[in-house]
Formats: sequence, C-alpha cells, structure tokens
Amino acid sequence: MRAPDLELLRQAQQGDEGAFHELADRHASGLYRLAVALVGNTADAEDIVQETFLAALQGMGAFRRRSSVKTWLYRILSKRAARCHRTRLRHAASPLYDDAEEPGRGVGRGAGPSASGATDTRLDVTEILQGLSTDHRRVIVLRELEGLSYAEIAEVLGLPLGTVESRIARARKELRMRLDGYLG
Amino acid sequence: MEEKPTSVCRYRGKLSSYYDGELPQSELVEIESHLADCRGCSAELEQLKRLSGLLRGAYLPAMPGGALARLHSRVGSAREAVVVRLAERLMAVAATVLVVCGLWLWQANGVRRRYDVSLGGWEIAAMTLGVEDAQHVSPEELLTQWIVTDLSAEEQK
Repeated sequence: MRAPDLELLRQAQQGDEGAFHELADRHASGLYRLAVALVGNTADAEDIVQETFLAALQGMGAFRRRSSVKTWLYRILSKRAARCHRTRLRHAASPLYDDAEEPGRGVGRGAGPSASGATDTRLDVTEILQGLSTDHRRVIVLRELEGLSYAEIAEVLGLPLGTVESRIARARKELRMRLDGYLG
Repeated sequence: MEEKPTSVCRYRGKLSSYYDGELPQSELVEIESHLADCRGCSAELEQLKRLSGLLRGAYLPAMPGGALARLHSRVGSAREAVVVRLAERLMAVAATVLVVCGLWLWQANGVRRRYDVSLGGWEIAAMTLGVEDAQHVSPEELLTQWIVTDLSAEEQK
C-alpha cells in the first residue's frame, strides 16, 4: 500500500531523499503532459518539469497543507510554464501557435506522417488544442486531460471559481467550432 | 414559411458545469429534470461527451525514461548542493567563533601581563601586608618595609 502524497512530503521535509524521489516518480508524467500541452514542445516541457521539482524541493518547508500535493505541484508548474511562454513570446519572431508556414509545429505534426485516419485526427486535435489561447488551453487541459475539479483548477491558476467555470465553457465552445467535422 | 429562430434554452449555459459534476445539488436536480424534456440540451450534452473523447485522444507524449532519469539526477544534485552549502555556513560560523574566542583570550592575557609588570614590589608588599600588622607599625616603619620588600624583589629579578 503506497503512502499518501502528504505523508511522502512530510518524510521529504524531514530529509528523506527517497520520499521526494517517489513523489517525483508519481507526478512527473502528469506534469510533463501538462507542460507539453501548455508550451507546445517537449524540450521546454522537460525543463519546466525539472524546474518545478527543484522549486518544490526548495519550497517544501513552507508547504502548509492548504491544498493537495498534486495541486501544489501543478500550481508551481503552471507558473513556470507561463513564465516560459512569456519569454518565448518576447523572443519569438512570429506567433507561436498561428504559423501558417509551419503548420503543426511542436508536438502535433512533429509526430510524423501516418496513413491512419485515427492518428491524423489525434494530430489535428492536438494542433487545434495548441491553437487555443493560453487561458483557454490551460483550463481545458487541467479539466479534460488531468481531471482536476474546478476548485483545484482555480487554486492551480490562482483564479476565481466563476472565472474557471466560464473559461471552460468558452473553451469548449471554441473547440467545438474548430472540431466541428470530427464531432459528427 | 419563415422559420422562427430557435431560442437558446436558458439551461444551455449550465450544461458545461453539469457535465463536469460541478453544479450544486439543487441545480443538478433541476437540470436533470429539464434534460428529460429538452432535446436541444440533450444533444448539447452528447456533443460535450464527444468533445471530451476527442480531447483525451490528443497526442501528448508520455515523459521519456531519459527525461525522468535526468530529473532524478538533477534533484539529487540539488539536494547535495543544499547540504554542502549548509556545511559551509556551519564551518564559517565555527571559524568565526574560534577567531573571536582567540582574540578575547589574547586580549585577556595581555591585560594580565600589563598589570603584572606595572605592579612594583612595594605595591605587592602593601597589598600583602595585613591590616592588623599595619596597625602595630608606625607609618615610617611601614614605608621602610615596603621599600625593602620592593628592593628585594628587584634584586631577585
């Protein structure tokens, strides 16, 4: 029976290195997927996940158990991803997700050509997801892919509950318009 | 015949939250009752389910094994760096304490030597001569004794 996240964090706070590594094993994949969805490329996603756990290591002494460990980690990652996104926006010569000359740059089309229609659908969905605004993409990924509740999303992103609710509804509306051909 | 525009059901805006199970109980009962009668809202709900299915199929790669190994390595290095920094700080504090103690001891020793040099033989004699002895001796004899004691001390040097 595996120890709950809070127990592992408590052990890590007392110097148990193995406990922190176990927390990393548990949450790294989910954080990585979220990072990829937020920043659109695997290299930045890996850096962001590393930075997230390093920040968690430095700041775990101040963790006050007002949220779950998962939400706490997601919150750190969300801030790191936002910073990465702002940095790239400042240095990018062209918009990140609206590049007509390089359709599907990033994790979408980069997966390689495939004759399978299902794979094409997946890639199209990925590309459309990456094409959402940052605000919409963050809430949709946290809700649809990570299964966080509205309250957890509000805590991760530092938003009021009502804002989370309305952004999810608007993001879905936008996605339905873009994915109209796939919804039947 | 001109078709009347379909009015949007007043519950339509709540369907997203209903679908996520985020409505309070009172509204939940109301919407579920409504869904039984509203084909538009039922169809909308079906679209939300299909959308979720599509989104869950989005291509989001799993974390590669190498990336996880690099993460563990970096976390391990960061922890070692923290321990090293803590040890360095403790050593710096210990060294400071040693230096301060050493300075204090050196100063205290120096003060004692100064007092030893400045005390003349007559002063030592004056301090060691008891009050009772002094009462039976005249001031001139006392002075003579101090001088003799002082001179003896000088000779011994």
